[in-house]
Amino acid sequence: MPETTLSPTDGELIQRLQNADLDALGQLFERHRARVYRTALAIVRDPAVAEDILQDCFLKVYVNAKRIDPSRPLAPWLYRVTVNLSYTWLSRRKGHRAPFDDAIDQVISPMRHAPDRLAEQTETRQKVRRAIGDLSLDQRVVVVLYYLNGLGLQDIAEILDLPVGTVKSRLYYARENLRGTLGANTSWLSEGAHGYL
Amino acid sequence: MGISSVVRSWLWRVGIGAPPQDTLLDWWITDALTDEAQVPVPPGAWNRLRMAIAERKLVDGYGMWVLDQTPHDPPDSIPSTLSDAQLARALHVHNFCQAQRRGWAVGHPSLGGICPTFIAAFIF
Repeated sequence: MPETTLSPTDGELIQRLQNADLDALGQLFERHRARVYRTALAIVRDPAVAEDILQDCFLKVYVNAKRIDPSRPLAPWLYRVTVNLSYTWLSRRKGHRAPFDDAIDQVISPMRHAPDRLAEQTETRQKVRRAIGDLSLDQRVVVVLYYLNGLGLQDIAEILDLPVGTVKSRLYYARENLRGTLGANTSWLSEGAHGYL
Repeated sequence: MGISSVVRSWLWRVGIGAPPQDTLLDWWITDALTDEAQVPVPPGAWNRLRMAIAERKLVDGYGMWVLDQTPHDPPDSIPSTLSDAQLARALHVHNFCQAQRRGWAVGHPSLGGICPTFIAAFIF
């Protein structure tokens, strides 16, 4: 009978990590790095800082491994740490603005030379991203967790340690603000979306 | 926004009913954020983390925890080039210092070869 090699669960990896198994941390890092990095990037809007947060987040996993309950899912814990680290960094950096779109453009540079239609879509995305960046931090965090990570309101409430009503309220006002920033009528959105929806 | 949508929004916020629909706005928000999520995680991130842990083990013995260091602002970028005025001033200071060391001044080609350091050397 052939042996089936199942990849270990997060809980099993945490248990191994609690016994100082660094390979287990490597597997957890490989499994969750994208969500941590992208969440941090969407909140702090600076690739270099997002990488620092990624490092800090997994250092916390390593140091606090014994305090992590292996029977509970790890992802919410990682989101919470990521958001907390992002809050910390942004609160220390109040008053400064990161050249987010420039940074993103550098990474996705081929888009600059895209055909007209694609370039138009890229421009629209930048407008939306800029509008998201202009949201208050509380609203931006909820928007990122809801739209980027596809988390439910209950999950977000648990991650942020807030009542569900507060999360709903933040999401509601975030969308209102985005609608306001992007224009009272979103006809340009319709034009931009033409052919893509 | 019509009255019905206001009522729907209010009902949603108090926990009743479905979220108010704005499919297009939702689509654009998701699209913009998802597009941003295409940014790859920097290569070598795991190696840097492993090294950081290894270094932390070393500094543990001295009672320090790298992890406890709070994130800090990146340093302000240092200008890599000088403006013409800054360059001229730097040259002037450099020439002056050279002259001080050697006991005589080098005439600067600007101002027809006349400059304060040259005059000073000429007087002395």
